[in-house]
Amino acid sequence: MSNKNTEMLSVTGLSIGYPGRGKEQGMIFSGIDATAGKGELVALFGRNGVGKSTLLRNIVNLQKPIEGNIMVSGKEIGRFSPNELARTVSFVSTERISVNNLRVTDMVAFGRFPYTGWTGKLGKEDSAVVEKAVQMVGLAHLSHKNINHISDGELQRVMIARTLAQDTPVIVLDEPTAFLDLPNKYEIVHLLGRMASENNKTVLFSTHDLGIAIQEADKVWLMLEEHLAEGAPEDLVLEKSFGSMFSDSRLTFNDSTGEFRIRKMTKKKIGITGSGRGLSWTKKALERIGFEIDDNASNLSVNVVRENSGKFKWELHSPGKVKEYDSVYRLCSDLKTGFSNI
Amino acid sequence: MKISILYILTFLIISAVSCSNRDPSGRLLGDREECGHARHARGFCIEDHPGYRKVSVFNPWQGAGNRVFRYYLVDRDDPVPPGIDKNRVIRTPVESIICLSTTHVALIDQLGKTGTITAVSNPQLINNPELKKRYESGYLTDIGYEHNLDYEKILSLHPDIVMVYGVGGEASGYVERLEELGISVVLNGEYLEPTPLAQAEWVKFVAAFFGLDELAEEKFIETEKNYHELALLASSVEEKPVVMAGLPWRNSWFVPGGRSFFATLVSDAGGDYIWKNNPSRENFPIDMEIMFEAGDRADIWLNTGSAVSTNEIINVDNRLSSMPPYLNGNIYNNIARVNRHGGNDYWEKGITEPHVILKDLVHILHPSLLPGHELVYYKKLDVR
Amino acid sequence: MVPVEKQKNMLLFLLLGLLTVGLFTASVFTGSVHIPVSEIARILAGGEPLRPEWKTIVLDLRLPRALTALLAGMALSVSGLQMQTVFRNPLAGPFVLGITSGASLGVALVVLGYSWIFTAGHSLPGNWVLIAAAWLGSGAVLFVIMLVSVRVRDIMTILILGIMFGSAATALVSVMQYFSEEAMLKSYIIWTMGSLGNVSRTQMQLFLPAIAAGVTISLMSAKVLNALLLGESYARSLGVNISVTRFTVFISTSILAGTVTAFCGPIGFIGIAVPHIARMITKNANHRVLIPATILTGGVLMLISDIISRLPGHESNLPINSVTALIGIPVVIWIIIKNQKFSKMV
Repeated sequence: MSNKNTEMLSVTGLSIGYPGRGKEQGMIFSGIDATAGKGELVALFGRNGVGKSTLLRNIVNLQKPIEGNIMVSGKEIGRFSPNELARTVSFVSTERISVNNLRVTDMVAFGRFPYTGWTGKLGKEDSAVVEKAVQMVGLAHLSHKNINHISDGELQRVMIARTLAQDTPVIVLDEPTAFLDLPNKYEIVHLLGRMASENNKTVLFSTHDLGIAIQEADKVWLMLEEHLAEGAPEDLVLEKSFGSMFSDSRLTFNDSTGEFRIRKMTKKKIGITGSGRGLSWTKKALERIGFEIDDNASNLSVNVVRENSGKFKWELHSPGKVKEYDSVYRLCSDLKTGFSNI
Repeated sequence: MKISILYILTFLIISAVSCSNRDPSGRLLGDREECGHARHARGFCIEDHPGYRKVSVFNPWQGAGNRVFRYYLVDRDDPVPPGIDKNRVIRTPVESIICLSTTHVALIDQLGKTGTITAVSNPQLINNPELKKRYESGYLTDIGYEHNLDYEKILSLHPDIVMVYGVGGEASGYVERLEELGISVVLNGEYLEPTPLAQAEWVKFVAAFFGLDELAEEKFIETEKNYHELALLASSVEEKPVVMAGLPWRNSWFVPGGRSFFATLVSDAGGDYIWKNNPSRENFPIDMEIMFEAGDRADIWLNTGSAVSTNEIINVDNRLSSMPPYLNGNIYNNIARVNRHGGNDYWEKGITEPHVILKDLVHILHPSLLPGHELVYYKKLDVR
Repeated sequence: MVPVEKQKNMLLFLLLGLLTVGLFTASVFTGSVHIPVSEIARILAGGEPLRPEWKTIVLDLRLPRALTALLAGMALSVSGLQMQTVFRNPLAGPFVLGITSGASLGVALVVLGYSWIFTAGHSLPGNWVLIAAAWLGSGAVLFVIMLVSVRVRDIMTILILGIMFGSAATALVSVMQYFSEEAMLKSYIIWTMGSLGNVSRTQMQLFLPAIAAGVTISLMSAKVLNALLLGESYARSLGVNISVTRFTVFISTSILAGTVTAFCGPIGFIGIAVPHIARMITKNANHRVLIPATILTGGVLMLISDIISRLPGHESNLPINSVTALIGIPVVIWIIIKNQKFSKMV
């Protein structure tokens, strides 16, 4: 809070909700305090319906807050003129835009809207900015393609290039990775990270892809039940904030791996011995099929052995019996079917 | 707020519709002193002035408010006197005329001036034998209708006047348009007169443009005399048959109002029109149920519109077969003189001889009064 | 814009321009009265023809009529384009706001026997009554739409309300029709069939500037219309003032559609079909290209419709409204079948 004035984007005491009057007004979330600095990639997390989109729409001034302040470059968002705001904050929503006869460059060129004259004609400089933006997102080869004829991942990049062309210090994106396949998700987030660091922009995006974001984001805004927690992803891990995000569900957050896992009903305890990669992956498999790892388990245990050839083998020790397996799969399927008789 | 505005708008318009319907006498024809040449008609006035004659037409369309159109008739050889509206000067006698209504044709024909008609609207609807012949041999021009007038042809015919009727008013645009092209337009409002004699009297209006006032007076006195004689004859009968009229469409029955042209004819013919107490001059819709109740005491059914046989009446609605006139076979329609394109002489020559129409009706209502009369405009519906 | 594309567009506009001039000339040179070409040329050059009425026919009938067709086609098409963009709906046209229905209501009041409402107390000259009534009617609908639009943010709600107001006006017209005389009813029905030949030279002095004003506003809105292609949220994030934009677009649409309806009656389908044709031939979504292309195509299509409606060589003519529909409907059907994705047309 002390360095509030140097922050690019700061939110104080914000309450958001549905617009309306009296009873119609629905408060979704209140008491939001958060900041984002220059050159930072900020990921916004939260459960479905917690109000991520509403928060973002408030930040880009598409919706008015119920109370509280949103400052961009030290100026209240409501005090910007429409054009000034358009030169300061750009936005990508979740809406899949489909306009006939609109080419990739045309779409990116929309970003120059706040800079062109009343005719909307692009100047030389504008065209250069557009071209550069298209290149930055790696779509130079598609620049003349109709936006209705490119993939979702490509379209998302076009929308991002548009914000680059708009040349705003703050870029806000609502779930840019939704509906994309895994490589595209990574690449989009990576692209956002590059935009933040290379172009010194403040990029705020909401997402559900925690793993990717933890790797790339400089900062996380985490919308919990009652308040918004912010910090580097690692800070939030150490504060156990992620764990509390889903505290009412069967999901648990593993502090050391940074992963969520469904809590399963454990039926039996099992001991495990061995070392290295073999040990950790076997543990995962055993947990998946419902065993609790307990080194004191006396009547059932697995020993992971690495042979000289580099291959692994597994020995299942049960009272009076030792059985050998050559894959985790075989071991697991035996353990599963054998639950009744082991 | 938005809703209330819509409501107010709706209310205003509905009340406008209904109140003007309840006030049928008011706005059609101006109240004025009886005017020189017209005894029955209230829609025109002819005044003689030194060097010109002033012909006025009052409110020549329904809902016209209080509009007067004046035409200044100046003899071809005389100078135009000062102080009159030059745009409305018409040189008389006119030698070439275009008519937009078949009734105009009949009025001109009555004066023996059919030869001056160079073009008409919808010539195929005309029954006049002379014009029909000319049309068939290509010597009568079709100039379209109302919003679709062929101004090019009108211009190239150089008419002295174009006689128009005022449905929808000058609002429908063509009057202004014609005048702008330098053509003299004369509005004829004869169809708004509520009595047959008043309509027929418009022959005097038309005659003024030909300078045939005396002939018109002569013709009209004859018509008037014949009409009055028949009416007198019919009034001598005590028992008045009950008359119903019209044909339903869907669930509504459009019937002539109690002060309409039709109601006057029925009354003059010694009939008791079911809706004689209705104050309207125009047709008005009534519900089927009411018609069935009222029609129960009807003796005679007149003017069945498009139905030309009893079978067609059943086709419209087979419940109509329970109407007493249907059961007694007393249904007559004014379709005796319809040409093959549907042009009905009743609405053409009929306007100039209301006494002939009246004679038909007297014969229908009181067969004993006019033995041996052959129906001219009316026809008994065939039982088919 | 790439130079090649610029050249392509220039060529297209040149072609459309030539087509417009050609059709305009054809329209002036044909009519139900035969006038020799040389005489028409003489009249147009300011000379005196062999027969004096030919001059009136060419200068007072054919020229205003051709000009009316051209302007009406332009006006309806460009207002249709605006509505399709603003509502992001390929089936929107100049009439979705209920403007025509409002105009029809005004005209119905006059033609169906209530003209005293407009003329009471003073006497407007001639058919100006009709035009005034149509304008008042469409203006009233526009006013209500504006009131609503201030409070309602969702553009779809406005679309639905526009359709509702239109239906309400149509219902009121039906009530009046029900109580009308046959002859008046016919007169009204004929009005609804449209006509291009009733605009006189005097009226042109009002018709032309009104259309010019509407088209100019539209041309000046090209930039914001482009932004609206992305929807109102995106448009706002690009710095568009939505209220002002809606206001301008609605105003120009009602000036255009209201004026054409007032002078020519409700002429359908041109407004819906032409923007699609323009999109197809320009392959461009940019309104700086699309608006001029739509304007020219609209003029061309209306001139063609007018020439067809006059059935050269025949005595009679067809109502313009049925011709535009018969031309417009196949175009729309063809586009649907060709494109399949009609919902993504705009």
